[in-house]
Amino acid sequence: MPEIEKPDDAALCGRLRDGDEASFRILVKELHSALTRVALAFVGSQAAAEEVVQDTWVAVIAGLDQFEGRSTLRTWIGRILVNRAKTRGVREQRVVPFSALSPEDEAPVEPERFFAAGFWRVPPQRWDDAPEQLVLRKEARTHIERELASLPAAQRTVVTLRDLEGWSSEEVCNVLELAETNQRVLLHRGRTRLRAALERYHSGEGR
Amino acid sequence: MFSCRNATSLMTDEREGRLSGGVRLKYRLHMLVCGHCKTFRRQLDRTIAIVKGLPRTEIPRETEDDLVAAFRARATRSGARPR
Repeated sequence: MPEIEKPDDAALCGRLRDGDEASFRILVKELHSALTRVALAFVGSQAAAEEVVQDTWVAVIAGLDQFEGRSTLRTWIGRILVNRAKTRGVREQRVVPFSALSPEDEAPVEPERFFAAGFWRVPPQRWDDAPEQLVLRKEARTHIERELASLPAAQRTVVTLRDLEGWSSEEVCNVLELAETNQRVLLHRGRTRLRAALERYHSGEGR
Repeated sequence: MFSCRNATSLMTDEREGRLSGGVRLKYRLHMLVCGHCKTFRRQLDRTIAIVKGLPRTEIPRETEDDLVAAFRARATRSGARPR
């Protein structure tokens, strides 16, 4: 809830300006995962992404006095990161993701699973009520992790920020410069793909 | 006619509270009677829960210490009392 986060942000920012190392360390640890994943949407390798994240922190340290509290602190940091990652991505001659929704961002469920009137022809296979063994659950996690990594960059980044990192849709839209509707399309498409991957996994195909 | 294709395409919108009154009503009525869509919805919830539990990327200790050193240097320069 941004309403609650903002006062916290102001307090945190004050501590950072005062040179409070413990607060800085917590912030770095808290944001590292999300920032690295966002950077990866724009640049070509893990190493390049980590460099962009480090550059971002250096810029954040230098610019602490410029933070005005008009957005949340992590949105501000996220924007610095995206600008840097974009510049780097362009230099690497990569296609900028999020610039437009691609055809693979549409149709959350394969069209052939429905009759023409839109009712299930191949309904979802039941797997969610199976007793969950610990080993199976671990396997399913590994499987979904792999599938998440192979999603198109825009879907992967939105699903990661929203569902794994717990960012709000407002933060994701601001950091990635996405319209709220597009953000929701990407999120839904990403989620349904992961669901489909679990369905394949439970039916034995994906193992 | 509100179909399963409609229902499955709206499940994230519904979670985010973005369905308008009329569509929300049709969605809810559909979900009351359609077992397959209920299954789909439950599986989507389960999927989201699994993603929530995936490991996050930890920052390497060395990188963390380098950044803290840079932070300390700024504090010293700007005359803040390091804590």
